[in-house]
Amino acid sequence: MPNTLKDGTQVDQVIFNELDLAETNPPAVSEKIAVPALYTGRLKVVMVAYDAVSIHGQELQTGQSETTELDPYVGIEYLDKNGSTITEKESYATIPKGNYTAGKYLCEFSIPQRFLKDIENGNKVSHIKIKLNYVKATSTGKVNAYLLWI
Amino acid sequence: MDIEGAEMAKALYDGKHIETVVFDGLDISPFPTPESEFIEVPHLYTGRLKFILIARTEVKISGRDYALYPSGKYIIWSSATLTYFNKNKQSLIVLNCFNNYPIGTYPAGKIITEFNLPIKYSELRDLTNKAYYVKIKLIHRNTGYPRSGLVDGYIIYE
Repeated sequence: MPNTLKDGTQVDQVIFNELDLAETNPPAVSEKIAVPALYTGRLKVVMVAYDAVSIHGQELQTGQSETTELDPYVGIEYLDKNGSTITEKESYATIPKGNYTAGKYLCEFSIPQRFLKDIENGNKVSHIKIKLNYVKATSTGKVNAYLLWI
Repeated sequence: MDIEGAEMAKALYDGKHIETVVFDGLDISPFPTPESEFIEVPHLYTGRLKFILIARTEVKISGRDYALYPSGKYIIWSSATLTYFNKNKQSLIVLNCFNNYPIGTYPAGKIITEFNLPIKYSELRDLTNKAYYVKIKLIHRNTGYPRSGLVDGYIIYE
């Protein structure tokens, strides 16, 4: 039976399956995901808390006793059929730092593809990788991520 | 034959129909960058509305920077913020800096960023069928780097 989200949307592919934030060194990088429907512009990624999740980003020292915490973020790497990198968006989508109860969405974004017209070999993307950037020491819980075709 | 009031449909370079013009030659150099007008989004809940930002002229995008202690700077990409409104134009939810786009120089015609208008966030699901308008704001917090140029922004239905 195909996997579906709570609202009935069919899951095209599983990107992260119970990714343990406290156990995985960031960035958490997905396997290569085949994206034959990329150029339709209708591929979307959703990231959902599998259990109680606390996710945090890098802390910057901005004063003698002040720090500023950045939000975690997600990057996308575009690859050709041989696995060579064509281009990468290092920080495409932001995940608001904080706590999420099980089932709550951390982020949702489409896989951008129109910009590829300006990139050399941008018409040859066959796979992507999703990279989740966060701070392991201050993050806990498990997340799932799915590729959807909307 | 000219037909009074007739207007040719707007389309992207690839023929994609433009639903709404969000920015029409917006000058990004003033600080802060203005927010868009209210954008009516009757197709929002299809999940297939997308925003696309294109350089009309050569555009320089600056980052957002943090002064580090005791010295140094940490620079992050610019970003876009989305606000959802109900029919009475009351704010429902703000997605702060949820999309990021790279610092750099973009020649005219180049796509700066493109992103989907999300609908599945838990907070948004609670608001199902209540969001009627959105506003988009381009965030450039930093004033220390030059930014310039005109941009066009469009909502398309993918």
